[in-house]
Amino acid sequence: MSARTLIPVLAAIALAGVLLALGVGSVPVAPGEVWAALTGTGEGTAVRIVTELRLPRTLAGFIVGGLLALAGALMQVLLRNPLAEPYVLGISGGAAVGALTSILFGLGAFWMSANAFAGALGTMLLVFAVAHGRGGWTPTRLLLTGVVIAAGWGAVISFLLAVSPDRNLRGMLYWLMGDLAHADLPGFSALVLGVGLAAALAIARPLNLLGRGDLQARALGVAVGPLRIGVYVLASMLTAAAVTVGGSIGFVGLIVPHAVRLVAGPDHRLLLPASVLAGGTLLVLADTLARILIAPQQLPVGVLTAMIGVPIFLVLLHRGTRGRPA
Amino acid sequence: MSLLACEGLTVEIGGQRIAEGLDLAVGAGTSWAVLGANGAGKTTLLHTLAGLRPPTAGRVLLDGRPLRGLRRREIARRLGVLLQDSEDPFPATVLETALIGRHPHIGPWRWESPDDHARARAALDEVGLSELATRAVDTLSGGERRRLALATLLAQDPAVQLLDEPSNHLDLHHQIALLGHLRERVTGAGGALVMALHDVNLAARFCDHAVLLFTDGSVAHGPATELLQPERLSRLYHHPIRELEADGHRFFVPA
Repeated sequence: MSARTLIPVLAAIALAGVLLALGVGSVPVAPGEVWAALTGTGEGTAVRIVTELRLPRTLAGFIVGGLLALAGALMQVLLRNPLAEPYVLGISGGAAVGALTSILFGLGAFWMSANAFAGALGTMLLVFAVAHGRGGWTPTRLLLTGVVIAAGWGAVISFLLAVSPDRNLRGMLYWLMGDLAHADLPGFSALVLGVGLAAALAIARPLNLLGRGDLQARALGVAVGPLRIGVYVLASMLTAAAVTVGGSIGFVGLIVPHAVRLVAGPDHRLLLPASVLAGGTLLVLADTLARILIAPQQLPVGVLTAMIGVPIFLVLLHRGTRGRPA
Repeated sequence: MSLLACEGLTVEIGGQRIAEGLDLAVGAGTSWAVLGANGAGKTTLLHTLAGLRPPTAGRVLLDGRPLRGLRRREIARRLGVLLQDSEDPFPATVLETALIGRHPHIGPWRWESPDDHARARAALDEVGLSELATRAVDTLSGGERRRLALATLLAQDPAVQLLDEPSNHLDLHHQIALLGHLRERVTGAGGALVMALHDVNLAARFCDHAVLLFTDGSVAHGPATELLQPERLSRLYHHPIRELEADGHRFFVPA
């Protein structure tokens, strides 16, 4: 599909997904009432449910999904590895240690977010400093450094789970699986997504070349060193913003870029914005299901991203779009 | 003024000295062969001349300007490299791959123009791949991928073209036809070719100058007719080599 059709189609699906999420729930709200609530012409409980409860959470879901999908697409080209995803370099692990420590010490929601963000950024700097040492900054070295540090965080997380009292475990597990139940209207992460997408689009064509190897990219006029540092910082910031809001929601950052690639091709100028729209929509739909599937209880959204995403991805893979065997 | 030159160039890799104090001047309309045994440093020398790795000492000049002071984008508009290997971890079509050669000529935030598409298609036509324009790269054979890499370089269309083993994976017909076409196209337009070759007969046929990299770190360079002599080539490849003549061409064969 070309740029002219794919982006509007995805945008329309995203809008439909958001409207669906606003209407569905323990109290169903008719589409007309949703519209009235959004345009400020309605009144009553339905309006309050839509604007005060569902709208912030739905928007948060969309933004987190967009952040993760964008970060995943960037990590895959940075590490030149199709299995790369936003968490592969340990950023979510660092955030988890920050968040879980806050839960263990009974700190409030603000400190939980602040510590998660600090853990993510600290990990970003640590991985960068260690990988940047002697012997240059190859994708393999960066990947190994990140994977080892992620494993280290994994051990710390297990330790925190082991020493925490039972009453904290549920909150911790929900954070680790990814959960939007406490998400507020995400001003800061919306800003990160907007600025991040603009920055990513500015370097989209050089990214197409980076995927073909450092030497080829440099031979065709790309300043590879500065570009890779920029992509690393950008992808890390996007991931940090996402995990701060929703915990370590899995799957979106790995699979959405691949699914979009199967439909849209490898051109990052199309792939990056399409991934944002598709990732946001997937997470909104997953979170809607998470709210209603075993209502009145809620599931962590991370459980649902894989349940929805796996069949979609397998269908796309099986179809082998764009005339190539898959 | 020469298109590409180096002054006092010393090149080392992994503690091995490949060249010391090398002075070369590649003039417009010339075609150079870089010859040497395995591990003599052909690729390393080409990468140094392309600015893809820094020299130990000395400098490289492109259009008389030091390479180090130029931005990669400026370099890529004048100098192109055919790398020994190409990697494509993410799927792409043949035409998309040829189009990336246009990158240095397209401004930031701009998309490829119809002219860029026309040049990429013409480049595919030159290497005989226009029928396969919509095919996925990972369905191509080794020789077809080599021709596609060449088409990408032709779409880039730089005046100075550095080719690392251009004949790799190519069948006999394509070796002769493509190298002949390339020499005519590049030198005819006032450009220059520098190619690392493992087949000394291709060098004798298509190159007017040669650079010989001996494994002891010494370098000989000059007009190909003078330089390509059986004794010297025997020393270069550590194997006795004889010269034969047929149809007005010189051929070198292992004794």
